[in-house]
Amino acid sequence: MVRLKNRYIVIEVNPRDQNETDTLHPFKLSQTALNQTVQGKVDQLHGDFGAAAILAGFSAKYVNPYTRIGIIRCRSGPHKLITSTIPFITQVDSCQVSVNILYVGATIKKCFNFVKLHQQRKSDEYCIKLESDEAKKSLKEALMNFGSM
Amino acid sequence: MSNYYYLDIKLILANPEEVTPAFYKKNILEAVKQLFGETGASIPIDILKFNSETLEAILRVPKSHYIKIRSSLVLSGKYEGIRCIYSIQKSTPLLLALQGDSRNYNH
Repeated sequence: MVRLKNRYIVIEVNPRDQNETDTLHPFKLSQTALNQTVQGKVDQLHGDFGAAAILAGFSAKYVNPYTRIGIIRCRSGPHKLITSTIPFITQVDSCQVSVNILYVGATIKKCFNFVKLHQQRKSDEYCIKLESDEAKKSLKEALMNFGSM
Repeated sequence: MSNYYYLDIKLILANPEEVTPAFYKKNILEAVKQLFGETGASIPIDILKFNSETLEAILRVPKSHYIKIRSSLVLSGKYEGIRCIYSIQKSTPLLLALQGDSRNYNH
């Protein structure tokens, strides 16, 4: 039997005009826009061949607007075309952005562990700036929301 | 052996018209860009010889990208809106091997 291998790419979408540590303003993105942007950019940089290579098993999800984390699932092999393209993404849905690759994993569980650790670290970072316990609690809840994952 | 591959190609147009070397190269680059995108278009391709009457040319491409170039030439189907095909007459890593070509030999 042949096994289908997937790769999960954890990305961070930072808007250009907003301060990176400004978590009080969530950065909303539609999932379809992210999906189309990645596919369009792969088509631009790797042509028809690249667009066709990544098409099977491709899906991009924007998970958390507070930590700006998104997850892209694709087949192992063509994921190299995607990881080489992601740094060139500058615009999603008429928003100027810069996209960082945080992690590339083979299982969603490993990605989940990474994202959890990453969000925990971020929430600790942000909590230092906040005064009241109420605000801290609500921020933590917002950051650790993996509902759509 | 050699870092390059040499391709002896011929452009066959549905409606023959005059083709300049610049347009010839542009069409090749467009074919590569269509199939392999901007990364493909960055491959250095050289036209060493060009015959404007028969539309034959000798291309020099890096060995590492030979397959990409050749496949995009095969899949190219348009020249400035006219239907066309590229006939690859001979390909070799040695330029000298293009000298003796039995395919075009007239007895």
